Amino acid sequence: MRIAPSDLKCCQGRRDFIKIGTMGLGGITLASLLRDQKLFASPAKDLNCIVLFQLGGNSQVDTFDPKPEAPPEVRGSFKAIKTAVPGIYFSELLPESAARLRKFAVIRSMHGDDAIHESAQQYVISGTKRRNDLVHPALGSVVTHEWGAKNGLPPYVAVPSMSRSGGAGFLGSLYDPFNAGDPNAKNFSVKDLTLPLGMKLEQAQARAELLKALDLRFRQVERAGLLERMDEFYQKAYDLVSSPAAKKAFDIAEESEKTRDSYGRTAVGQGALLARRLVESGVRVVTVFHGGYDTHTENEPGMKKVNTEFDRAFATLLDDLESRGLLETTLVLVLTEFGRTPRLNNYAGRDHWPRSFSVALAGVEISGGVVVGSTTPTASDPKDDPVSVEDLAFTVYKVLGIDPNKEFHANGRPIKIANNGKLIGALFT
Amino acid sequence: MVSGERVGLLLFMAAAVGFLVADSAQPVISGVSVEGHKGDESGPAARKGGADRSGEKPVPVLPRGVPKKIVLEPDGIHLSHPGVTQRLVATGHYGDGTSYDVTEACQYESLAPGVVTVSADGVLKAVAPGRVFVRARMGRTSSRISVSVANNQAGVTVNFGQDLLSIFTQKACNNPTCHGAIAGQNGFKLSLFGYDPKADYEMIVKDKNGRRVDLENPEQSLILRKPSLSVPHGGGLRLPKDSQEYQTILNWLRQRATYNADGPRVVDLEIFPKDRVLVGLGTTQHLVVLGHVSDGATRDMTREVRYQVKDENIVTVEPDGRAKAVAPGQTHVMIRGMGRVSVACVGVIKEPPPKDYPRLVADNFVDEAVFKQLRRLNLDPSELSGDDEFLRRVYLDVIGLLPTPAERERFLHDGRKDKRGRLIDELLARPEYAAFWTTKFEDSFRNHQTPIQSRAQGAFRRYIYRFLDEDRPYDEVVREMLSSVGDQTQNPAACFWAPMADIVVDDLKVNLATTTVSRLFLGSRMECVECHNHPLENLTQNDFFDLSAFFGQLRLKHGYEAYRRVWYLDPDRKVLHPRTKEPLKPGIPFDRSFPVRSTGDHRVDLARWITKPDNPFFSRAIVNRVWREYLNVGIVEPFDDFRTTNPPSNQELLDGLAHYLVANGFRLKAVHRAILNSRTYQLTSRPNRHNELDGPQLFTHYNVRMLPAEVILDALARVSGVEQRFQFYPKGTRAIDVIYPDYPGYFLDIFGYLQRLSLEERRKEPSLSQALHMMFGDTVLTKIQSKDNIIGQLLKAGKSDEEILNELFLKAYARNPAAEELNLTRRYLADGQEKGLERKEVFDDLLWIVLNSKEFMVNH
Repeated sequence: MRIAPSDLKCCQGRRDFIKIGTMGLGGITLASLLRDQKLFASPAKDLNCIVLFQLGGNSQVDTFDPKPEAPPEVRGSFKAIKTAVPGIYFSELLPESAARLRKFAVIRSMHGDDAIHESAQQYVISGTKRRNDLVHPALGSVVTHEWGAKNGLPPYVAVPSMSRSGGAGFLGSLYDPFNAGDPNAKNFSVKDLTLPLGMKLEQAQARAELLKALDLRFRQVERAGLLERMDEFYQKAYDLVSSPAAKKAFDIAEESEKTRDSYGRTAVGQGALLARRLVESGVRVVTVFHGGYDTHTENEPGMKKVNTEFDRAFATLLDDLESRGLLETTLVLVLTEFGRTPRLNNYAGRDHWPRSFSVALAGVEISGGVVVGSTTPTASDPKDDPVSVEDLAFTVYKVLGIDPNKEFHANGRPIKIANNGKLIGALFT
Repeated sequence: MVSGERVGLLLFMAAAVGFLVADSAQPVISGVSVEGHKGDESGPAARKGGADRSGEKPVPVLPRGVPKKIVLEPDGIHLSHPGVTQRLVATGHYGDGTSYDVTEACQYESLAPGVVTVSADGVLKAVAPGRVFVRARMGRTSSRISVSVANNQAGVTVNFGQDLLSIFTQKACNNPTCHGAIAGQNGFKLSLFGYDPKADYEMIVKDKNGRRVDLENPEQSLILRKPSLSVPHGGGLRLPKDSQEYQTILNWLRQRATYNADGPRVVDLEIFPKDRVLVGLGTTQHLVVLGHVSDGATRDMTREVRYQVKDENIVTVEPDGRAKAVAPGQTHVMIRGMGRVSVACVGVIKEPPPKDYPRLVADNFVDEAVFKQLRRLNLDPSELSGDDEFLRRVYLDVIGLLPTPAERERFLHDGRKDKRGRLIDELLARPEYAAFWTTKFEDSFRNHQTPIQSRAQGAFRRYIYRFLDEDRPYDEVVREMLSSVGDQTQNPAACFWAPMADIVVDDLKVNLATTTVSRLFLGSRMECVECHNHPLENLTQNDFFDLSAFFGQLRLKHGYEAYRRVWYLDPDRKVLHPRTKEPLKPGIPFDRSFPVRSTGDHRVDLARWITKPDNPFFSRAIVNRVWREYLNVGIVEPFDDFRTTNPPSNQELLDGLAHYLVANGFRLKAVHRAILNSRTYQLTSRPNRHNELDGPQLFTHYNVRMLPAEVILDALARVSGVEQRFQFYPKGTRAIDVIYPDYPGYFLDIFGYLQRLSLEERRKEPSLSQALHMMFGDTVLTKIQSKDNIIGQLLKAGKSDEEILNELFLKAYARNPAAEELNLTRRYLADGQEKGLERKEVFDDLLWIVLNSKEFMVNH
């Protein structure tokens, strides 16, 4: 099929397929994405990434950046507790993380300016703000684009699902994440990845074969490229369902009850466990979306619930990765789209506050026990070493070995994947 | 010597290639070269090198012979002073409608060599001031153009603005990855493609204490040493020391490196030929670029512009302007230089349309325009669709619903000749048409919970629905929206502005309004010019600012309750120029002469200009969108990216539809009708052996496409007989009628339902999540497993195997199963029953198969 790129290429010179970046054109098909390693750069180091995304905006004051000296309407009623690093205190909501601060780094001086959930989420997970027509791809989509897949598994998995902000943007739907579903659900099986109860594989096969035969007749008559592409995905979907390797990777029930309990029987806990399991099997990037942080009313019970769950999951994940020797090759990110208002509102809640928020990083070259930057006494703005969302993205790509200045083509112009940021040197002491 | 034998051989050969010797305009299959025996009035003997005219250049053998007419281009050549040169391009037009580049085959003659001389390959050179005709001849056909020479010595000195910027553009110094990037390279920044000569001059001569130029030792200037690689240069060797460009810069330095501010500037570029179909793969075509200079002269810019081809698989172009045909199709060649752009349309056909090219039956002006182009490009459209195919397609395209078996019966048995036209009218009158197309408009107006909160979202939807249902004139609706103020729930037209607001600071983002309005109503993407001059269009950053000034007066505040938004005007508020901080006066970049009042609501003036009947963009932008919905590809594609360098694939078609809309009072249904009733729309989707590889924008057959998300969901319910329930909505609600506040649910999300936060279009591509969800997910599963689904109902009614199968096919595909399909499914049923499965179970499998089949999920 003749390639007819609708975007004018701005630069003369080498015309490699990867620059075109749209599904199906230039030879990148699903099959080649999942199988053909030749088309992709080999990462210098075979790295993975697990993102725990706190959806809704985690309150910095109630978690990583407590302000025990601030007035009560700012500090809330949670106490500050010691961490493994002398002089650094966390909120009492994160005891297990606090005890393990030597294994990860925290940035307290994050700042942004977007207070709308969807766009701020997209901003943080991609590192670049959405413009009128241009949506930058999420971290996992970029990694997929650069490295392809491993072991025939989907390279980018979202737990439970993409959350509308973790998608591939201008790279095209080929690089969207695979949605795994909620691993904490009873009888969890990956969303859509199992045969209906009671159906035997044989029957599924017979049914699939007849589908194939009918589709083939249709395709032969219509001869449209779209049908070939649809067929590819259906074939792959079927393979995944009948593939023991894929099933095994997603089969969280294989983990012992003890392990499952240690992560916590919560969405984020089981999500983190599944993420560990998946990167072990060959998935490159797993993003676990944990909701419930948007505490406009009754901030404290809300924060207590989600952060306790998070604390357990995060701490156990770090321990688990470390004991399996995976921490050197797995970058762990704890992200949120913005912080929350330092001053409690009339409903005892906190509202959106993009001017300062906290994130955490662990693994690969990230130094443990580091706290980057600080905020003002009421945590309203960064005080020392402000870090922008662009800086964070730049640094993350650098750690993974992906050039943030690499150019993609979208809407007829060259776009750098994470420009306008600078390296956060303090993370690598 | 002409012996009888030889004549016989000639005639044989003539017959073999299908033409007669006497007529000079016969089609010939390209690639066959019959030496010296081409159709030519002067007879075969004379063709052997033109031996009867001594001293003349031998005419090279072409497959085409002598043309009926020769056209010389460019016209309007005004050479600025003696010594200046200009290339010519000669086109031979032949009786069968084809054209060839005969530049190198012509003999040239200047009728006053003391004024202008012309070389054997058609390059003019000015000798002395005056005016002269230059003639080109091929055989007995000749043509001439007028050329004038002035005595404008100003051009003799090297002109920074013209000469140096030409070089920087041609050599790619100022392109976006090198020094034209926002931050330049290594501290040296040039304006992108040379749009700001003053800034470039400052940078080269004054910046960094002038260390880039050395007037005492010009050759030591960094501006020369770097590109000639005398010192390390990240860009490598760009200007070898022996190149003409190096010499030009050196001369400029020797002349004291002045700016020459009063010097003439190139104000426009023209490319010749503007429009050409190349016949034969490998055929070449000279392109010539004429620059129009501010002093009235012209300048040969052929080698001073950058060429870029939209689709290099069809045509390639060398830096010297020579184009070559690679594969059949149509594309565009864009030229760029001196901050200006222009474009030529180039098609390629393997061979001329044969005499027996089928006479295509045009049903209306749409067909006339499309078929004219098909003939030009020697393309072969598919057959007309059958009734089954047409029925299912038109239902899905117009109202987003599958036809019921009863509706199908009625249509098939309708014996009237105009039944298709009548069906189209019926469908356009149905409320489902308005409901379906409302969603499309909601996508582009971004009717979403986040910008347009709660009740206003519903009010806006109803507003759009009414506009479509009543077929209100589109220009009226747009004027209404553009001039709207008030509470969004009371005046839903004001919801139009909501996606451009910053709700955190409660204000309109003027830049966002500018880009949104220009995209939606002018089809122009102005995002680029927010930050710099447009690299692909003749638009500047100042154009952007002037347009943004129309929106400065619009303010936003919260109403009584949370989430109530009220728009109001602050008539004295101005938009400030971001750099100079001067208040901007609203001005329309595309029509500076359009009167804009200094008081009153500026948006009203803008709306007046946008919606005036002869506005070149407004009508074209909307008809292009409607066309795109039906044909899956816009006449201009991307559909909201109209620019000089992205011309329509069929200008006549676009113009025709636009005029039709205006002539019908901007009522959209008229355009729907024109498109739907055309043969072009009604062609089958099946390619024939000639057009299978044709690009989709050539419209030689209907383009197969995936159905939109809501349509699939509704179709699943219809075919399976199991309703899809939506929270808070009563039974019987269709997916297309639901207002989704935020997250539309997993199914719609993965099938492309838009978040509507940015101006994007729905994804029409398949994905792994879709495949998994359809095959193994709960949306389909619950329908398969339901006891009372269609299978259950039909079994209860005692239907036979064949009847059930038939019913499934009729509902899902609007056709009966073919014999082979019946066999396959009968075998499956038999196997199933052998394995001890229940009849319902096996039929449920068949339902699963039908719902997962590609034929179900696409429109073809």
